[in-house]
Amino acid sequence: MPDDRYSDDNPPRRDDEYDRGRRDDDYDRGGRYDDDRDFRRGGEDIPNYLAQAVLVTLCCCLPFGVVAIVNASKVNTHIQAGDYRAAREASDEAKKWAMIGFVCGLIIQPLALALNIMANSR
Amino acid sequence: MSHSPEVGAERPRRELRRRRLVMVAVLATLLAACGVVYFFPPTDYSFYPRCFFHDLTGLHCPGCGGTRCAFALLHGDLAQAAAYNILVLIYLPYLSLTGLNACWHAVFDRPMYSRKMPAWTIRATAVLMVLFWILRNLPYAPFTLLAPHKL
Repeated sequence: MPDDRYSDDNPPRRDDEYDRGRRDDDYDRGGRYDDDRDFRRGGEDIPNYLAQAVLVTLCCCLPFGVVAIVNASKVNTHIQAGDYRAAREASDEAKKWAMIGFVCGLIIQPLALALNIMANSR
Repeated sequence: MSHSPEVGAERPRRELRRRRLVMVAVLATLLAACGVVYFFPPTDYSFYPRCFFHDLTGLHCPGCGGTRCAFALLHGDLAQAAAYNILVLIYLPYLSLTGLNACWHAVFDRPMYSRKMPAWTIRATAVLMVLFWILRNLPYAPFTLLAPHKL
């Protein structure tokens, strides 16, 4: 039988999928994510990462940016519907795809540049 | 993110430090990039990263013409900037405002505004991106204006 009496020494097991992307101050001292915080604030500090998504789409020329924008739009849709947990999840998705696009851009752009220089010097 | 329990006041302070670090790094990069683009016209110098999508397919992506657009903007030529990439011009106010808000958040420890844009505007962004991607590659009269061109 697992001990279900939580204390500072015995915090509940965290739902890591859901905790991804939370801010450090969203946790109380026992390391629990404060689920009610989003409700109290009306979801105002759930980031939608739209600016990052637009930048990735424009700078990295990758479809991943569009995936990030679609997820960013889901964040605001869920906030308007009051579903803050789903908004958090969409926010994480948007962040993930913006990051994937950004890293792909970082890898591919220098490669393309190098190929270009090699092709031009022939 | 640390999973160890900490004194509550430590966490926001760490968050604020992270925000300030990111702000300084981003502003420095942005300033350096603007300086390079201002003094070295992208049309004359080939050291700029080229769009691999354009190199591979010959088609324009939504960001193609972005560097030339930034050059035109930095030199105050709005019409030429729009001719190179009108989407960058459309999203510049939004991006600047978001960047300003992030800087404000980093400096004063609270955002300048926290109003979210209505959901439909963001859905429209996704549609606009894809539409722009397709339309600027069409070889027909009004759409050719969307492809990067010199005035």
